[in-house]
Amino acid sequence: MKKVCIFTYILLIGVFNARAENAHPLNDFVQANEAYANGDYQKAIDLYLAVIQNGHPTGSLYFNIGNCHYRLDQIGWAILFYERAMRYIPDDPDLLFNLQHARNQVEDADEKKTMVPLKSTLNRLNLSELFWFMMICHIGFWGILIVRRFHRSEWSYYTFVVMSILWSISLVSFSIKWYDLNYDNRGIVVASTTVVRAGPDERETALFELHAGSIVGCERLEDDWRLIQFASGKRGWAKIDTIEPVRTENNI
Amino acid sequence: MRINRHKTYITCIMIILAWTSVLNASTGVSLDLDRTSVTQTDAIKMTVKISGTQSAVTPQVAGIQNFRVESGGTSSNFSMVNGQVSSSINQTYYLYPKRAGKFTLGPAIVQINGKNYRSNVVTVTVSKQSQDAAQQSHQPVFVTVSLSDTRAYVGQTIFYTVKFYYSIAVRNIGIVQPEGHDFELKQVGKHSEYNANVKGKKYNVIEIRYSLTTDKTGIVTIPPTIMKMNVLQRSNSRHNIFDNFFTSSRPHSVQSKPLKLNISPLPQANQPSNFTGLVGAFTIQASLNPRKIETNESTTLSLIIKGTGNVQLMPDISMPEIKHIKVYSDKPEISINETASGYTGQKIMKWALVPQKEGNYSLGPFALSFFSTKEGQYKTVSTEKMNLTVTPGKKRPMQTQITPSDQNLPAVKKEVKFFQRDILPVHDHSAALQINTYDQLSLWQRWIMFSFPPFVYLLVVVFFFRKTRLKIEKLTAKKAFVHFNKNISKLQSPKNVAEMLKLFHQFLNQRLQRNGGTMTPDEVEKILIHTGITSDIANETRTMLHKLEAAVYTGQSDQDIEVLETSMCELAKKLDKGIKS
Repeated sequence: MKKVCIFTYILLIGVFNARAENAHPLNDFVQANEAYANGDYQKAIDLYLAVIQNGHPTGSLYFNIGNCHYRLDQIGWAILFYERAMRYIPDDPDLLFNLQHARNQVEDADEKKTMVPLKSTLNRLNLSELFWFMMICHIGFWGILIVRRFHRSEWSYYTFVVMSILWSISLVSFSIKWYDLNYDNRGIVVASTTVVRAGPDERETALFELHAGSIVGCERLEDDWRLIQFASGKRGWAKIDTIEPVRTENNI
Repeated sequence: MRINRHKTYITCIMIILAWTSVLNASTGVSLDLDRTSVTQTDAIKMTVKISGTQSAVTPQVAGIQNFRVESGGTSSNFSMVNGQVSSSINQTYYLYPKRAGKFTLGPAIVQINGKNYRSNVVTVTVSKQSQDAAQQSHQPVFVTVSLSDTRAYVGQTIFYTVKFYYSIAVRNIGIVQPEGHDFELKQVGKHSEYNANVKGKKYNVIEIRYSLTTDKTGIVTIPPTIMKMNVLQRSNSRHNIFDNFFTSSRPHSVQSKPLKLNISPLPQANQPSNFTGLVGAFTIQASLNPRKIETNESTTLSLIIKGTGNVQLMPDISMPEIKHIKVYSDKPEISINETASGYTGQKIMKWALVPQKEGNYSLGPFALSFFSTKEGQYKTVSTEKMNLTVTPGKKRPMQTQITPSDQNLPAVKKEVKFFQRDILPVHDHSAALQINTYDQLSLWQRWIMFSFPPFVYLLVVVFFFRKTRLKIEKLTAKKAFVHFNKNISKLQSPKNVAEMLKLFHQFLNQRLQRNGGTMTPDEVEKILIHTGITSDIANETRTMLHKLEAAVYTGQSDQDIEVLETSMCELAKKLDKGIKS
C-alpha cells in the first residue's frame, strides 16, 4: 500500500510540473501590445503569433490578433481569429462584442440555425472548465463508490445516485465539447471575395460568390481547391487560399 | 302571592298580544297557478296562500266559474327564523277548464279578523283540446307533441311541447327526443306534472317544453318523439300468495306523430340599416341622470333594451362622439329568462359623460330595429331626445405635488443608441498569457488523471477486502475452540457420533484457517505437524478421527460415546493451545 501511495504522489507531481520548463513569452507580448497601441498592427500580429508558437495559445492572444486584423480592415481574418479565441474564452464579453460587431459587417446573410438548449450552454463553457467539472464528478463518483464499500447507508445511496447523474452529464458534456472542437470543420472566407465553382477548376461554372467573414463548412481538398458548403443547397469548390479553417493543427 | 299571579297573567297576555301583532303584521293573500297556458283537457293547480294566520278560512276566488273545481287539500306552514315568526295556510284547488278562452282568475278574497285581504290576479289561456290527445284517449299510455307556431320566421323562438299521458302505473320513463340536421332542441325549464281529463278519462301528464332553433328556411320535418317506460302489471300466477303485493313490469314504448314546420325567411324589402337579426318584440328606454351638471362633473346615460324573442342577439348600442364631452362606457349587463311565452331579456348599457365645456348638449335619440313576428314587418323603436345642461364649474388648482418616489424616475425612458460602432481593445493584462489548465496537461497526463479514481477504487476493493478477510479468519480461528465446546454441549443426549465428527472437522478447519471441506485423518496429521503440533498430538488426532469415522460409518465403537466425547474435547483443547496463531 505504501508503494502505491508513493507511486501516486510521484505521478501527480509529474503532472503539475510537466510544463515548467517553457520559455517566458512576456517580452513579446508587451512589445506586441505596444505595437498595437502605436498602430503597427502587422508587427503586433507577428509578435502575438510568436507568443502562440512558443506554446502559449490563449484566447486573449487570438482575440488580440483578431483586433489587429480588424484594424487592418481584414474582416475575414478578424472573424477567423475571434472564432479561434472562442475555443478558449467563449464567455468573454469583449470577445462576444467584437465578434458580433465584426459579423455585422459581413456582406453575406448567414443561415439561421436552431440552437439546442444544452448546446447553447455548452457553447458558453470552454473545454478546460468542462474537463475540471468532469474530473470533480469523476472523483466524486468513484469516491462515493469507495465510501459505500465501507458504509452502506441511505445518505450514501442518494449521494451515489446524484453523483451518478452528475458524472454521466459531465462525461457527455465533455465528450460533446471535445468532439465539437476536434472535428470543427468550419472555415472562414478570408479573401474579400471568392467565387464558388461547380468543380475544382477555373473553367468550371461559377455558382455563387462569397464575401469576407462568411462561415462555410469545409470538406475535402483537391489540388488547391476546397469543397465547401455555405448553406443548405449552396455547395461548391473555392480556392484553398481564400478560406481558412477555424480549427488549427499547430495552434496557429 | 296574588300580586305575583297577576304579574304572570299580564306577562302571558303581553306575549300573546305581541305574537298576534307579529303574525298580523305579515298577513296577506297570494294566488298562484302552476301553468298559465293549458288545453281544455288539462288540470290547473291553483294555490291560495294566506299568510299571517293559522285559522281555516275559505277564500272567494273571482273568475272561477269558468272552471270545474276540485279541492286539493289544505296545508299549513309555521316557521321562526332569526326571531321572525311566520305562518301561512296553503289551500290547493285543481281547476278543469269548461271551455277554451282567456280567463282572469282572482283576486282571491279572504276575511281575517273582520278585515278583507285581496290577492293578485292571474290570466290563464285555455286552448282547445288537442285532436291528437282525443284520438288516442282509448290508449292507457300515449304521447302528444305540439308546436307553438307552425309557421315562423328565421330567428323566431318556437316551442316544441311534449305531453306524455298515462293512466296506468309506469316506471323508468325515458324520452328519445327527435334529432335532425335542420333544427336543434333545447329543454326549457324543468318538466311539469299534472292531471288531465281526456274524454272523461283521468290521466297523469308529464309535460316537457323545448325551444326549437333553425337556420333553414322552408319546410322542416320534426321526427316523432319516443317515450320508453316499464309498465307495471299484476303477476298472472293465481296461486301466488304475494299477488296483492308484487307486480311484474314489461318494457313498453309509445311515439308521437311527426310535425312539420314552415320557416319563412325575413323579408329583404324595407330592412333597416341598423337591423342586427333581432326577431320578436322589443322596446328601448333611455334615461339621463342628472340632466344639469357643472363642467368636469359626470352624469349617467342609461339605455335599457327589453323584449321577447331571440334576446341573445340584443345589440350593443354605440354612443356617438359628442364634442367637448368625454364618454366612459360601462360593461353592458344582460339577463335572459325562460318563460311560457318564450325568452324574455333585458340589456342595460351605461355611459358616464363628463362635459369639458359649459353649454346645452342634445343626446339621442337612440334607435333599435327588429322584425316583429306579430306584425310580420320590420319595426324601429327609439328613445326621446334628451338635453344636458352644463354650467361653468369652479376651477380646481392643478395637482403639482410630486411624490418622493416619482422624483427619482425619469420623465420618459429612452432607448440607448450608439453614436458609432467600434471594437473593444486588446487584452493587455498579464492574465492574457495564462494558459488554461486543460491545455497545460498532455494527453497521457489527462488519461492518468482520469484513470486514477477508478484505480484507487480497485486498490481499495482488492487490498482492503483481502486484509479484512484475513482478519476475520484469524478471529474465527481464535474462537474455534469456544464455538466447538458450545456446539458439543448443545447436542442432545444420546449424542450423535456423526454430529460430533462434523463438529470436530469444523473445529479443525476453523482453527487451521481452511476453507471448509473434509480432510482425511492422514492429511490432518500432516497439517498439524506442519503447523508446529507435536507428532504425538498429531497422531492422537489421527487416531481420534479414525475412531469417530469407524463409529459413524460402521456403527461399531470400542469406547462409550461419553468417553469418546470427553477425550475429543481434551484433544481439541490441546490442539487449540498447540496450534500457533
